[in-house]
Amino acid sequence: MTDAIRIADLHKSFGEKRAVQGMDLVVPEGSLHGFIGPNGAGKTTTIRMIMSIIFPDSGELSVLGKKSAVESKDRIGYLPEERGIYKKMKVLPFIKYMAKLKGVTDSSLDKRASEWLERVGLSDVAQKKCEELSKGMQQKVQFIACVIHEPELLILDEPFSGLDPVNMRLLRDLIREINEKGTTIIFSTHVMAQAEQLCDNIVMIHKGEKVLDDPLDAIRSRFDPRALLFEPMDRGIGESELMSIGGVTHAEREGDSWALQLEDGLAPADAIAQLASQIHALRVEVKRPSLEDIFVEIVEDDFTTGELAESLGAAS
Amino acid sequence: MNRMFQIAWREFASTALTKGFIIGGFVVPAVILVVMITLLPILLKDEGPAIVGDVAIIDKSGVIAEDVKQRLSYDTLASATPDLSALEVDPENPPDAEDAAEILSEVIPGSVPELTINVLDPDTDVEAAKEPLRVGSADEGGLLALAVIDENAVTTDEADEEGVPQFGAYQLFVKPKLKDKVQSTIRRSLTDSIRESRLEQAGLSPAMIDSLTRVDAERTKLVTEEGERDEFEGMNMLLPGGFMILMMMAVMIGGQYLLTTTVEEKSSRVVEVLLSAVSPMQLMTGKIIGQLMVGLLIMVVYGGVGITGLIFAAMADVIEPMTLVWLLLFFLLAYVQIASMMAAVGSAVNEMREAQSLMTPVMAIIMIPYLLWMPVAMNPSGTFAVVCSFLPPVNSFMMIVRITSTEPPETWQVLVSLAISVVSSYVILVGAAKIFRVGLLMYGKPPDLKTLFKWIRMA
Repeated sequence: MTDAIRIADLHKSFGEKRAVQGMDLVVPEGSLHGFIGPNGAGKTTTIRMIMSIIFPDSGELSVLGKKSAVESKDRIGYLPEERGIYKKMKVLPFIKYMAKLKGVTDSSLDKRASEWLERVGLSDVAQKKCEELSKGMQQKVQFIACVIHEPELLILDEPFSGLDPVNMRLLRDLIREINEKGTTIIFSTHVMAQAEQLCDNIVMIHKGEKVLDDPLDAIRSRFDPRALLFEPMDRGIGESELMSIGGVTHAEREGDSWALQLEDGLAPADAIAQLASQIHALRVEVKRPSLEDIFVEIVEDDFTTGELAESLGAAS
Repeated sequence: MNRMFQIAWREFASTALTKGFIIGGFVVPAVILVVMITLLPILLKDEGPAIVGDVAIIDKSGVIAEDVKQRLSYDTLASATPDLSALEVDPENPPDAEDAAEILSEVIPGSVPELTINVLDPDTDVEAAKEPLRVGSADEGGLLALAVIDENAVTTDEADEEGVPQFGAYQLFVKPKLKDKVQSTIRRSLTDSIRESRLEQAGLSPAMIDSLTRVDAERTKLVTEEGERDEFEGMNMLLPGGFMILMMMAVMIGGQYLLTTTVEEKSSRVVEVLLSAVSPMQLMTGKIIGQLMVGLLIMVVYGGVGITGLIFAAMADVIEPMTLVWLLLFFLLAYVQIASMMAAVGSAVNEMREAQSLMTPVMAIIMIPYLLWMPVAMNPSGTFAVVCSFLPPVNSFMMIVRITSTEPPETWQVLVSLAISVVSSYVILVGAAKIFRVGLLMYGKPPDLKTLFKWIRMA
């Protein structure tokens, strides 16, 4: 399997601000990668460099086997974060115009565009001007515009922002479907739950550096916090009773449930058996770390150590 | 290439194939033109009710009052006013601008004033006679004017050292709002009457004097290889100006639209979507070509109307076919220069409002030819004109002025100017492309000129 994107030691600065520093990244063909990171982490800058919209200061980059995306623009679909639309243009002509710019010349374009519009439930607005559409509708039109030419690589920058839950699900299904057909997909988001629901691989970017790049499962197991989520039948159970159970080092209330921290070396399965035998449980499960927890953990660590040191250094 | 034309076509269609453009650019001017041609003569002919009133004359000289009365009578005035329908233009020998103005001024008066002339006693007190003028205004009738003719207006005893007699004249007092036309009719009658009376007093025949002092020369003929034709003097200045303004209008309108659409694409954030499909250079070139078509459309339509007008006036031969070729070439180059600058400005700012300060230098380049047109057209072969026609970025406009003037420059000068235009177009285009590339994705504080030059060096 070849790699869709290969980046080595990529750097980009805007004046004083170092937006991306020393980024290495390999995205194999057919994978579904999620870029996550806080606002201003360098996600969009990285994506723009992949798209050759801006050029890196240094570093190597190859996209679909070519030195620059310019040479393979027609094989890439790109939905930028700052996505616009020609307000005065009608929906169908806009989609067709974008397709033509992407080199689609065959006669099936009309049919394909109509099919897509039907797919996302917008066939009745095909002849309306784009400015008459709601923001969510515009977003779906923009999505069609970036996949209409059936790209091999699809890059979506914050594709879910501004969508309602129904459309979010529709878009998620579409992304998955396109990926299953073999298209490599990269998408960025700052909403971790979306990445969690969709991606095979997570790349976390923070302050222009890649801080995490692993399959989702691996990340979860690596950040295993060794904790149980326990909801007792008797709401009156208190912290002291939970702490009395062997192996529980810490108990903290989370709504109706309790998060129980286990001591090192204790298998969660044993702890569950022990717990259930002593207190009647309504629900007990191994607490899986959410991507958000991991994210916050990484960012906070950095904030407390790095940021603090930086601000101290600046002050002295 | 295909993509560039896709962009160009969209740019053209979204600008020129809109109701606003077609109505504002062509329908409204056409309607105004038709209205002017059909309604203006009718409106001019209908001058409102005729002036009715009295004119008092105090003739201290005692010899001309009756003559003036005769000259201002309704019958005399009516027979002197030509009828519009009687106006015939000889197609073989059309009037030039000066003749036309003269003919018009005679045709326009319309209704003939009905004046009652009261010759007052020469000893009447002038102040008392003026009293009726102070009441009301001319449109109410009554006494409209009082003419006081000096005693020595026709015969005089005074003479200067060389024995040339010194005559008196007349004074005219009028009521407020009396039409200029009526005033000048009265003045002309008085002047003519006094002049002829003096000539008769001196024993000379007015007709003889008139014939002796009048020199009626035929119109200047331009002698060319093909033969002789009338020289249209007004055209010497008008034609270069017309060509330059046509070129400027097309450049300006195309450039202005380019600025607007670029700012629009940037502020609506559609630009990044476009950049994922085409390179900034392709985008800019496509847009420039698109608006070029808009400019050409304007030039063809308006220039076509102008040339059609000349053909109807049988003056089409003042334009040589080669001039049109030069016009097209210089238009293309001037357009590329202005349009690139407009695109660069458009890409650098976030909204139209911010474009104003950066537009100043671009506007200056467009305004300079306006200021230079007159001096260059008046002396098209002078050193000043030659220098101007070699000086980028205004050389294209100035060269067109020189080419269409009566002293066209030598061909080598035109070619040098063309070469200068090609080089400066290239330099401006490359610089603008750099600004365009950097500017398109740059949001936030709009840059100043200094920053723009930094971008050129950076990119």
